[in-house]
Amino acid sequence: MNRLKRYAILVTVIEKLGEKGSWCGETHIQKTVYFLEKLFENVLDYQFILYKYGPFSFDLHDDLGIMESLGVINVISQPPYGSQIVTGKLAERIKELFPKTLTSIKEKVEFITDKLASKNVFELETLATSLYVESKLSNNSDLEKAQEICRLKPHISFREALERLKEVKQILKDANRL
Amino acid sequence: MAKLKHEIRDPIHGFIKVLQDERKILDSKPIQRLRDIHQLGLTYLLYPSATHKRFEHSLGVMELATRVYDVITSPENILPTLKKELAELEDPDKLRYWRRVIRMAALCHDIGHLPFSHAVEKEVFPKGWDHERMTAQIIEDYLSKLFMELTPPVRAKDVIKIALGPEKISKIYPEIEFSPWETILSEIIVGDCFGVDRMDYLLRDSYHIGVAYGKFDHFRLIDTLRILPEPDTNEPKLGIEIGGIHVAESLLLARYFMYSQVYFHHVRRIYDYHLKDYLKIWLKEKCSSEFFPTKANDFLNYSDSVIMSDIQRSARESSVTGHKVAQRIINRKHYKLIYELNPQDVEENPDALRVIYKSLAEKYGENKIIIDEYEEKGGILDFLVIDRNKQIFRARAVSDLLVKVPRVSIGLIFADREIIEEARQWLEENKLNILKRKEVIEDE
Repeated sequence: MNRLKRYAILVTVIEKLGEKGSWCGETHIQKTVYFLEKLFENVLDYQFILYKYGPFSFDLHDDLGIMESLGVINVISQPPYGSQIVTGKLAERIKELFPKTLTSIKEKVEFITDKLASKNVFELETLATSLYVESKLSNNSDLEKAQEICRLKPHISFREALERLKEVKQILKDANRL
Repeated sequence: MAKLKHEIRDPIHGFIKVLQDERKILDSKPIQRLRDIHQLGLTYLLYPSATHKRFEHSLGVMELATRVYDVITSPENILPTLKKELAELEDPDKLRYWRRVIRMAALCHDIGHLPFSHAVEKEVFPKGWDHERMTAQIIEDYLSKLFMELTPPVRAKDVIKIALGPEKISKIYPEIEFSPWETILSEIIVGDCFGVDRMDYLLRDSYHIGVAYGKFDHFRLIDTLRILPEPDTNEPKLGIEIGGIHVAESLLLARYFMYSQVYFHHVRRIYDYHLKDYLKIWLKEKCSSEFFPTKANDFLNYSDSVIMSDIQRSARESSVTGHKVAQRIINRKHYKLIYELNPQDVEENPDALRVIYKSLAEKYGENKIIIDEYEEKGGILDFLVIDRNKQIFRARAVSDLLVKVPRVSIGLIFADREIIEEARQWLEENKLNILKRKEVIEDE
């Protein structure tokens, strides 16, 4: 995919997260894009691995850095909290280049940002790790999946893992209706 | 009686210590081959002293990785809250084992480099291969048995994981996952902010090239490195004590200056392209293939001097394959810069570089024009900092410089010397119209 087209889709994701009240740091974008990729078959074609706060894409990480340097996004420091990401001066110019692409993914972005915008970093980590395990161990029981989540992320409690697995299943079900 | 410890003189780190049983690894063919791989490829054609090799860099990375490991695992530097996440910190046997792993990972991290280092690998390795995958292959095929002779014996798969890090490993072995401990250790070598691979090459390259702006106080930086828990999730990461913030800033500035002034210098970049063209011809002639072999034993036969003696012969004798392109390298007849991407043009057309390249290639032919585009990777620069009251926060909260230090990106177009003057004039007259072109971008 053309890198500018990827940036245009990411700008849309960032705008929607912001509109819906998300803090919109890098973790929020990483997890939202992870759900977008898993639920709707690689819209952006990023490869995710289990890393920082759950599934993480180094290519997306690199793209955000490049987008900041181009002025497509701005990273605003909010001490004592982390950084927030907002769209930059070049964002509109990039979006204008891809009207058809953005129309075609609009509903998917709306869906996933509705589900995730209100969540904090810990909730997103738990939820995205649950989706990762749900996909990897789709034939196993929920108890086994919850155990795997706790093995991968020892700071997540067993009860929390079970709750998030339930939530992930509901999101998957809702996504199928789109 | 054999010495238990050897010391190797180094201009950057003073002495580099090597244990007796590590000598077998040091003396192995994959490591010794690095004595004949230039750290900066053909950069010595611009900066004549840039003739240092990957061998001394690998030793330097081993030394720095060991120093960082010793600092961050020192009991007085460990926060009690981390002990649940990182059980290794309380197990002396494991600490000894992983210290040896990180030393070997650092020493071996570059053994898969092609002749002349990074310069040309995309087009002369088979699809799916790069120097990191080659490194993993050589460790498995060539060094795994030697690792088992160390005390304690070291598993090759651990060395590969720590040497390459999660990003590269995920592309070679997608099924492999990293524990928080392994993630920290790999960050020591390949990390965006405090990776010792980068620390050593900035210091070493600036020393050999003769520029001051690659230097920073790495002694102070290393002393202030700590494993810190992310405030939101408690996940351990490599960060620094507040006292190290200014030297961390100076590392990032050093990186910016070295990338913009040295690594992305336009003449260095065009030599890389000419070298790639030569190697494509050379491989067909010498290896009857478009690519370097990926079998470890065969791959290790190729180093800089093997290739350079052929380039020189090709440049001398017009009947020898690759004569024209070899002359471009040896006689310094490289293509010349015709266009450099700038913010004004990007504002006019976000795809400015490609539309200008396409127009020039249509006008003068693709073989006369070369496009070179590269964005420095590494994401949004930020890391954890701990202050004197043990409060942990992100560096951007206290460092204005971190927000402002530019990321290096290049967009260059080169043209053959035969057409350079005419092409420059044509571009000057037509650039505004060219920038209005949009058809390069597909919207579907």
